Amino acid sequence: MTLKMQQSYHHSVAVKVNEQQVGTKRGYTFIQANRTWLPKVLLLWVMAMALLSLTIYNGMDADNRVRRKEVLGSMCDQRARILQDQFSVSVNHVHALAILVSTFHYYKNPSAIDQETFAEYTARTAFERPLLSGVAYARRVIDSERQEFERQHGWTIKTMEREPSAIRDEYAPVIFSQETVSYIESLDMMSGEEDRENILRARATGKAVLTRPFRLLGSHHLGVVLTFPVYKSKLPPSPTAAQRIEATAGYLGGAFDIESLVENLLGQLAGNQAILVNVYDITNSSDLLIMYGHQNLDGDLSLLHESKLDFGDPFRKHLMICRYHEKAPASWAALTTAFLFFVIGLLVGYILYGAAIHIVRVEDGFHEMQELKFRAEAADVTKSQFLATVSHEIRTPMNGILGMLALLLDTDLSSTQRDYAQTAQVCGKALIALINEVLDREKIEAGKLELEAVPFDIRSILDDVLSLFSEKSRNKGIELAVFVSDKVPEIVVGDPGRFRQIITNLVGNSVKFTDRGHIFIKVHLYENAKAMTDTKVNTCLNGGSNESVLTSGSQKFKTLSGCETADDQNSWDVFRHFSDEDFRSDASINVTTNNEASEDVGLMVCVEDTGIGIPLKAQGRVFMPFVQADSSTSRHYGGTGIGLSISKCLVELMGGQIDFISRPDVGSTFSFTAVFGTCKKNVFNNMEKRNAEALPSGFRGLKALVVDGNPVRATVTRYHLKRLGILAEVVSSLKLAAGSCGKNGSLTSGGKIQPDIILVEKDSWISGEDSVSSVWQLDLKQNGHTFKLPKMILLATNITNSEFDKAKGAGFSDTVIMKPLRARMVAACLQQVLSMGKKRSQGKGMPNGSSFLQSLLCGKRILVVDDNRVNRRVAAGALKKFGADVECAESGKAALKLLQLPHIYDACFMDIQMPEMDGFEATCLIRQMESRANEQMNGEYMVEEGTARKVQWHIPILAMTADVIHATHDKCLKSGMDGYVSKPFRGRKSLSGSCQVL
Amino acid sequence: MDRKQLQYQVACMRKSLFDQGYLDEQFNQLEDLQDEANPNFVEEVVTLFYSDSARFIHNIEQAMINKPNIDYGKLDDYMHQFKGSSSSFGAKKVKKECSQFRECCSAGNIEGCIKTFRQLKLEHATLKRKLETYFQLVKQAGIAERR
Repeated sequence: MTLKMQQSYHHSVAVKVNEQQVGTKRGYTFIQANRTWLPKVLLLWVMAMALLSLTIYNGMDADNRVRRKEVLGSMCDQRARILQDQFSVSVNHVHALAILVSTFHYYKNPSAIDQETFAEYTARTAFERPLLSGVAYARRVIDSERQEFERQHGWTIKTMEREPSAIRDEYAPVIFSQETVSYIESLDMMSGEEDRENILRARATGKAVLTRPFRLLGSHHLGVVLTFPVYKSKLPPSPTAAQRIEATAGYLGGAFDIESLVENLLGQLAGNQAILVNVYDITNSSDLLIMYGHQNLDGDLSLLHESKLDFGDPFRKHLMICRYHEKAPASWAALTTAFLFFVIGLLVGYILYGAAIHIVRVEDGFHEMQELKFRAEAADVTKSQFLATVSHEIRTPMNGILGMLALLLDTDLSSTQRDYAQTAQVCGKALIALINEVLDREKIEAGKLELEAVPFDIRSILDDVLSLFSEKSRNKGIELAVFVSDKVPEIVVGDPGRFRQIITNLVGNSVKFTDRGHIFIKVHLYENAKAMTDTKVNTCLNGGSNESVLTSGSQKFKTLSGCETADDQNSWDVFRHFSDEDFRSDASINVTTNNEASEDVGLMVCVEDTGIGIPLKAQGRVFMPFVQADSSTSRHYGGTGIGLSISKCLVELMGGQIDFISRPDVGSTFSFTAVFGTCKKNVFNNMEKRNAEALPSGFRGLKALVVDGNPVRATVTRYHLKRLGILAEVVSSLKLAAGSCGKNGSLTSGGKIQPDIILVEKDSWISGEDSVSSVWQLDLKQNGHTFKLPKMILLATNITNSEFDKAKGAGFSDTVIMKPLRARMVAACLQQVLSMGKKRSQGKGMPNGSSFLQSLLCGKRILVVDDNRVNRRVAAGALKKFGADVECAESGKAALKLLQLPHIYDACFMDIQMPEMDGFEATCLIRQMESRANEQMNGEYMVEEGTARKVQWHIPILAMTADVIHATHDKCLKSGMDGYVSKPFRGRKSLSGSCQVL
Repeated sequence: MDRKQLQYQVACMRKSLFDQGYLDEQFNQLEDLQDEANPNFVEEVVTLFYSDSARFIHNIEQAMINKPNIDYGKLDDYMHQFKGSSSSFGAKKVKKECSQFRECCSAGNIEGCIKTFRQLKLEHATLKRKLETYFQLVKQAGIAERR
């Protein structure tokens, strides 16, 4: 693909250079442009990743901490609540005890409670007050009552220091006590600082009151003392503090051993190992009194949770502070996640960096390559230019040499000298040809070659090429044939010279490398060819195709010569599709070609040979310039091997492709496609008029029978006949031909055509000769007297004298149509054969083309009407040249006089522009005269004979005019002329276009 | 003179006539028509042409004299004839002048006509001189060949 592009766009190198430069500028990508930044970007990336992972770690850690805090809070609150509950239960019990004392000690008279009862009761209900180490009841004793009291109980009131109390206003000696605290009996509670305070507060409020924590007397544990007032009499509904004090009878107290209490409590709860609990009395906010826990704080100090405790004493405030026993463990999950993230980020960064570096390197490489490519192309252009210049410089002096040689050959030379000079000339021509080829190639490569676009006839070009090689192929005994599908328009627009060059080259190669078999040129429409190939594939799949038929031991292929060809695609099956299609759908094709006027048409041209083929290893470099299959090839066959590469270039310029299939020792098939323009009908008409070399049309309507066992060859023959307007039927053997003729001979059915010509292939004749010729002759004799004998013509590639004599003996005409077939040559031969009977005398050595005209005009009386003497003389001379009997008239009037009925002339050439009476007027008058005569005459004949042939007076009148524009032509026809010839009168060229009129 | 040399001279002269544009393809056609049956065909035609053309030139001169009432139609007619003759015979340069004359005619450009006509006469005379020499040479060559 690239290679192809390179080749086809070689000529735009200069443009491409610009493009490239632009391209290189544009080619730098973003990465390339910022290549120096790459390491920095990588570093930045790594730092960003580190930062990001740190953030992730922090986030996860903070999360953990929050959760930890929540756990701590909930645990702390739980503990505080439980403690509070337990405490309040105990307080309630003490309250109950106070009520018990007041009920049984004061309301009953005498008192129902004494020390024993109290001790017993409290001991037995101790389980209800697990938090209290013991309870005691102290009675309120006023100083005035002290004597009485001491006497009554038999002991003196002692202070806390166990000394007899000093005199005070009031005393609160313990009178009842639980056994666990029996040591405080008789101690004055008012003597202790905390207790006294408690008592005063309790009796004023009537509620349970707590002391601040202090070391308890017995256990030395930290504890608080709970004090409850006991009132003598019932209080009013809302007593004042004074009323309360008045009514106070005593105090019930109990010691809370907070330390053991909390210890106990926490022991029951889960997770007590994990947290440390401190309980404080915060009544005095500046001085926190510890109730429980270590004074010196250890454990995790960073995280604390405080819970309020309400022990039922509004005066005292308590606080519980919890903290974790150990510091928060490092969060491994967060650490791992962050680290992994970092690693991944690092890797991704590195990968991107690596990719970027790679891209940069690749782009560098690309630019380098581009530079190199550009330089290589520049070198190529330089080479081409050099070659072109040198070739041109060589050509100029070579022309001088050749010219001088030509002049030299014109002078008197001895035979040796002449030989030398001729050799020199031949060599010089060969050199020029070679240089031209090289120049061609370089021109194409440099893109300087421009194709023409002129209308031309493909068929005639192919015929020309064929005629070029006919001599060679005949000498070698090779069949050479051409077939153009009817779908291919007659006139296409393109470069005929270059088209011919390609074909000539391919055919030349084929002829060079082929010693037996055939060379066959086929032209189809590209679309059709493709469709047919598909069909072929289908039939292959269906198993329907068998290419070869075995006849008498040797394999025979259905190809032109029966030899095998390299390309199966072009085998008979496909070919038959084409030709059948062609012959079947003539009418429709004409319509379609009219419709799709001035559109492009793709042609597919195949040149098939049965030569030595191309060695497999050389097939790859067939189209490379100056390369031949191997070095021995040039020794054997000569040549430079440049032709195919030129052909390839040309084909590509024509918008097509060239390809080949080759099998060594079997043959090669080169095929190429090319795109041509089609042109409109009228353009084509004009061109036909200009191009006086159009095929003779005198054979239109003739019928021919082609006898040929080989269907491909027969199709080719039919193709050429069809171009001449001859309807051809194909039969495979002489026997069948005889049969069909015989049938026609009997007058039973008019359905079949009676052939005017029978064309017999030499092979068919030789193989069928013995058995059939007698029958053939018989048939002919039978029918001979009633019907015109069809002419028998032999078709042959080469023929020996003896064979020729034999053929003449068998009833064939003198003329043998020699292959390769060309429409024009066939026409000439047919003309010769058909007119042989009448005009034998003309057999002078005339050129082929004019022999037809010669026969047409020979012996005819022709009137030339022209007022210009010179013109008249020239026209007369030209017509005389072809054997016509010419008379002249110098004006329309004179002509009218001469052209009286009955006509003595066979035709009239009339100048249009004449003084007095011009050509149109004269013709009109003549036609009027004729039609009058015809009417009259036909009337008579009708009466007399009825079925007799109609006699029509009609002298062919041809205008002679210098302007061949369409309007003039129309005017000619309108005024009753049959056609026109161009002036100045050019003999054959002028005449051949209008011969159908004659 | 040597036969070969004469032939060579004829060829050269003929080539120069073509190269200089005096004659065109039509002249070849005429020569093609010449054969044993008609050995002097070309010369005959040329002679005819000159006798004709002398008449035309005279006529045209007459038509152009009575200025300013020039009958352009008549002029054109004459010139058409003249042109037909010259193209039949292949006198390329003369033909070209004829065409130009007719163009001037149709434009009514008398100055152009006169100018072209002068040129035409010049070409006509030159061609005549050249052809005379040429035919003389051809004749000599023919005689030499017969000997």
